Amino acid sequence: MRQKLRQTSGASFIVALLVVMICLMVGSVVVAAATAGVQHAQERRRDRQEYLSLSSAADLLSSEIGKAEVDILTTTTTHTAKDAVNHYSDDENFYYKLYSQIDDYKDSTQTSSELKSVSSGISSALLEMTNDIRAQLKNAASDPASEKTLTITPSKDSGLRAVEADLSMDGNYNVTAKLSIQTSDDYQASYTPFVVTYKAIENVENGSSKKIGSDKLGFYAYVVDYFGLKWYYGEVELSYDITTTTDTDTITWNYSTLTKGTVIGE
Amino acid sequence: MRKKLRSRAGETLIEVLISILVVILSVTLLYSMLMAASGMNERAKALGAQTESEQNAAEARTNGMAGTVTVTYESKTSTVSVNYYSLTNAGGELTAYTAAGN
Repeated sequence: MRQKLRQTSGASFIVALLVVMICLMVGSVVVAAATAGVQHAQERRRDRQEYLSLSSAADLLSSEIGKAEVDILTTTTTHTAKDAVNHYSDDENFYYKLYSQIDDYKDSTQTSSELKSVSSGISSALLEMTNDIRAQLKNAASDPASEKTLTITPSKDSGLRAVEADLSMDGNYNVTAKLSIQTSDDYQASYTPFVVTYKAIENVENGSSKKIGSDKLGFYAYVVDYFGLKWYYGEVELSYDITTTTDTDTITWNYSTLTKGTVIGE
Repeated sequence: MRKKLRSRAGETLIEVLISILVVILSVTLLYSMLMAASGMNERAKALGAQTESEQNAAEARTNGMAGTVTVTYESKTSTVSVNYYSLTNAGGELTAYTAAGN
């Protein structure tokens, strides 16, 4: 064996094989690097399209939210007594009871919301969220919030990806939209979500009172004195004017901040 | 090896010919691999330049083409008019869109 190893015949074969190995190694490294370069270029193209999908959706959302205007109308109906009150007793408790009935009747308040420019599901979602927040504020919720999810799907031949927009509204009607590429089993997004915020601007306009009619009502009350011995009966005939005032609370949204996503892993 | 180098005796002709053939084959292989890699690099470069110009065109918001975007909200669907922007509007290119009228 030792003799075989020391034998020098056939050395040119070994040199030739060494050259083959070196060539193969260098070639494979160069080809692998070139393949990685092409893959990177293809991935970059895919990333750019995701970026354009997200930035376009953010642009569309900002445009639609910027155009939206939600009016909260608060209508107050007031009954104002204008004629003298007739009564049959001068007992203090009796007066109190009668007038508390009148007070109960006096004012009524109704509120409604309407959207001035309905152009898409985006503004409809905005109106529903505003109504959610109003209802929570009315019930004195400590941290009112409302969330809705929209899907923005561009035409298929554009090559753009569908974007999911998770909208959330806080107690001051400010909106935050988290935009992410819609994923599926055969497509995983490479971009982290864009986050866009919109600041709500409230403008309250107090409407003028409008007389809408007049009427008469009779109120009756029975009062028993402290010892249960005396009974009073009274009747009040009240003439009153009915007036309504509609106050308008207009909410609009201004684009505020945009946090762009990044390619996952970069 | 040293002994071989000092030796005045040569290799057989057949040995030398086969070795030369092997070296030629491996150099040819290396050359074709380098050519293939060079082609791939050219492709990657062209793709990068194409991506760049398509993205610039999409972001420049010129050459718009009218279209629509579907907005789905709680199983209700509405369409919004938009303008699509790409380099030649030929399809398969990087595209962006904005609401129509902006």
